[in-house]
Amino acid sequence: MIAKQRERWIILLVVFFVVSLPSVESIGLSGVRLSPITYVPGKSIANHYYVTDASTPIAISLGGNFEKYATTTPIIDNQFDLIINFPEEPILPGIYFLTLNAAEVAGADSASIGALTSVTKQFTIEVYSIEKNIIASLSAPSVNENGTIHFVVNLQSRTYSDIDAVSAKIVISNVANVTLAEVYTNNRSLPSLTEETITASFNTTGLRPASYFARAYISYDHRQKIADAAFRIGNMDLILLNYTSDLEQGFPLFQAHVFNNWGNSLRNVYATIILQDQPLHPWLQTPNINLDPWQEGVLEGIVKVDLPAGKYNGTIQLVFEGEHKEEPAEFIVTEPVSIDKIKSDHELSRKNMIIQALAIGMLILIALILFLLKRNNRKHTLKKNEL
Amino acid sequence: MINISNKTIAVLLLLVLAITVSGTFVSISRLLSFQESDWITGAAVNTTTGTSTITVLSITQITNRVSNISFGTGYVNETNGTAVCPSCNMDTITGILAGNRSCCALFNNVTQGFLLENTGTENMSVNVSCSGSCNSSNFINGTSPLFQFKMTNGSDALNNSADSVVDTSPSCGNGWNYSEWTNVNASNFDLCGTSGATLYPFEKNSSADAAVFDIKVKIPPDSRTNALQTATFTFSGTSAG
Repeated sequence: MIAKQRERWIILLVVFFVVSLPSVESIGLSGVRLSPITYVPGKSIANHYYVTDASTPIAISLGGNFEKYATTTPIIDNQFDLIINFPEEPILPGIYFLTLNAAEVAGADSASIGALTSVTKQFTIEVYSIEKNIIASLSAPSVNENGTIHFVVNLQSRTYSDIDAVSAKIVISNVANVTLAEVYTNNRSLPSLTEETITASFNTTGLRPASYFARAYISYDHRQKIADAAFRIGNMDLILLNYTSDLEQGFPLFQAHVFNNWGNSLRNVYATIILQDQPLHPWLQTPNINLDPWQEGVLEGIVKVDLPAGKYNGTIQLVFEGEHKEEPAEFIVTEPVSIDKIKSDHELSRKNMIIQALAIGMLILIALILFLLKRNNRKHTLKKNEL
Repeated sequence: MINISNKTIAVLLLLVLAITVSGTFVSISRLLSFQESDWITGAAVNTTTGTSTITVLSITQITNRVSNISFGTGYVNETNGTAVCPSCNMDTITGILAGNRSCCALFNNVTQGFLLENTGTENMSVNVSCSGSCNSSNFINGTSPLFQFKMTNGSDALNNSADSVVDTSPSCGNGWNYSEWTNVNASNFDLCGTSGATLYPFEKNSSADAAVFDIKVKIPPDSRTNALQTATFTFSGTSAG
């Protein structure tokens, strides 16, 4: 009897395990990323791939408009190679695609609603022109007052032709777009599909600290491209960007956002708030911070506000590297929203709700009474009629 | 109280100095035993160079955590008349619909759709195609049958427990297409992103990398009997190669 019961349990367990076997379909395709691929006539590319986690037999296929230039090797141990052989003949410039697909193949034991997975890697192939073409960008680092800027023009060839000569004229202007100076880069050749730089230097002596613009007119084999950049001529200065002007009575947080307008670090940076009518008693002195070149920072501290609500004029004194500057400031002191007020607001809204509920209840009651009266009247009328 | 003379103190100091200096020499000589020649400890003694290389592979991988949906074998129970049971309605979100349980006799109550997860290292676009009996008249047959699907973010799905890390954010950039019940057919459906495009909005981040493909069926009483119908969905993930 006991043996039979055990047998039943074993059968039940077997059935349970068969039903609850983990069922996961997955496929992965891993390899070194190639996109975007630059088309080079006659070039061959081989890349190795691994098929991972596939639970069924797999099929590899190619697609896209570069399919005819690609092949795959047979799959051995879930690994294979993709080989792309670019033709020698010219191809129309543009963006082309090649797809590599690995897909699970359905087995014979298909379920009523089954699923398979497949993954595709889509390669982008950029075919350039024989027409001479470049991509250019200008880099203009910020410098300190009277310093020298080293402009760098980065050039990327986007053509199958060599470019004999590339050079640039860089025009420097201020924010009002008034040209202030022009400098010229060196001249160099740019072989097909390569990347090079050309440079120029500019001494900023005579220009005041501010923001400026530079525009490079890049000439290459009778063609021209433009690249822009902005830069800043800095001095040892700390610029106040904004500050907390609304302060609640009590102990609110004061913050002043500042910017290091210098190409070097500023150390021991702090702010002091002085009210106009209390010049001898600073309201707050923030802790010190250090700022990296051209870095923004926040000077902050808890300020004790025990003044009556109102508007107060004062100054924010910014101290940095032993120097200091003053910025006029206006503060608005407000009364804090007290807990009692919040409580009384809650109380009021609660009372309002009760009144509303009572009013609705009264209306329902009146409607009910009217309904009952009407019904009684009708009954009376019927009785009278019967009599 | 013992009086210690300056002489004694000087002797003691000299003794301490001697112990310190000799201890230093012992330590240095011990350290030098590791390096036979140089006095500098911790410095590289050979100038051979080593090159370390690493190649990080890009993996495009899609995983379906639920490999099949089996509503099983059953029939539409017309015992109480077709007015009560005009059809058996089931979907993989709520199972056999409430109020319809007596109509779906013997069918399995399935409450889990296909849970798709981006388990690779690349964002992807996802599409699905169907093979086999890919529309309601082939799959179910009879009067006004339904065979539909619907996509739901893993983070919004009722049954997302199969996700390796349950999502907290939507998984497809601008949202999954076909987020309402849509008739199944043999077409190719772009579920997230567009086939052939170079935008791959199906996220790889584990907290936003899953979605559920749910199925809905409506079986009328006059549907085909004794014929197992199969529909196989192939979920394809595409990434940059």
